[in-house]
Amino acid sequence: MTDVAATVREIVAAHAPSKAVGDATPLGGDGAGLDSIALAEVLLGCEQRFGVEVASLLGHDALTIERLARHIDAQLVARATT
Amino acid sequence: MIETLFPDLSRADARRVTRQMRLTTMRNAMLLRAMHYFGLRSVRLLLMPDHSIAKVQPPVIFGTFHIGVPHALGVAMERLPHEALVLRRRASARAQRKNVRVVETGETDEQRALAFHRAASHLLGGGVALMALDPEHAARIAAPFFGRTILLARGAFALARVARVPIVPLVARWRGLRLETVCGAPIAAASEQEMADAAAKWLEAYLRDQPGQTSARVLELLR
Repeated sequence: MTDVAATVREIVAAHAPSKAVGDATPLGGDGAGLDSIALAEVLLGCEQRFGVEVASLLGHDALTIERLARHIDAQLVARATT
Repeated sequence: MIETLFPDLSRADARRVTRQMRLTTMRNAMLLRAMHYFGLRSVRLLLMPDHSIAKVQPPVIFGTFHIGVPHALGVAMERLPHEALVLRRRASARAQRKNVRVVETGETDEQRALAFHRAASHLLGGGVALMALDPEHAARIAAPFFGRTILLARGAFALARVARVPIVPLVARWRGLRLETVCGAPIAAASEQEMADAAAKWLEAYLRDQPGQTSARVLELLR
């Protein structure tokens, strides 16, 4: 999970270069302030980098680096065990 | 006021152009009424075939403006040989139909991110999308226009950049009592600013040729 989180941090940093984004900071709105285009690019970046689906995370709780990394990790583990 | 864009128009020409704009507004209102009662059949009967649109190779974004008859473009998309994704802020359930999938961009950043993501995935898979380059609520990008600036929306240009697809300007207009579409040359995927500048240049050339197609939305976005 550490490697996954580090990669997600890099992808987020590429779209929020002016702020250091904490793992538990909401990526949109009043948190890291990524707009809709930047949020979508983070999701696409994660999907392209890891080959897993992440868009389903939107619309529920706030999107954070932590949630993304946990979701991606779970999908990678599930894929490895099938 | 039309003189904002065309300060050198004679009074007679300005009156003529203003009349054309009002006629378009009235005809659009009647068409919307017909669509309310008879659905899209009203548009399907009136829209003339345009083979140039079908020749546009996917993946591509058809970028339109709020001029002419924008609600004719969904029917234009139906006639393509490929399924088209249409992005709109709000859409009714009956907007979904064969060959056209409507995606709501919604009101929040997360809803818009989801719509953007869907559109990008669709385009990366070789698909076709239709979206406005001048929606009401959007992150803006300024482009040169009639010696001034027009504030277009970033969304389509960002999507074209991310998916590396061209944008093809597409509008519809009244031709007598029928409807026709006008398709521009593809704007190659480049930086958002370069694409926005090219789209504004296309719109300016189109309106210089057809000043009666100017709309209130264009004048609102002018700076």
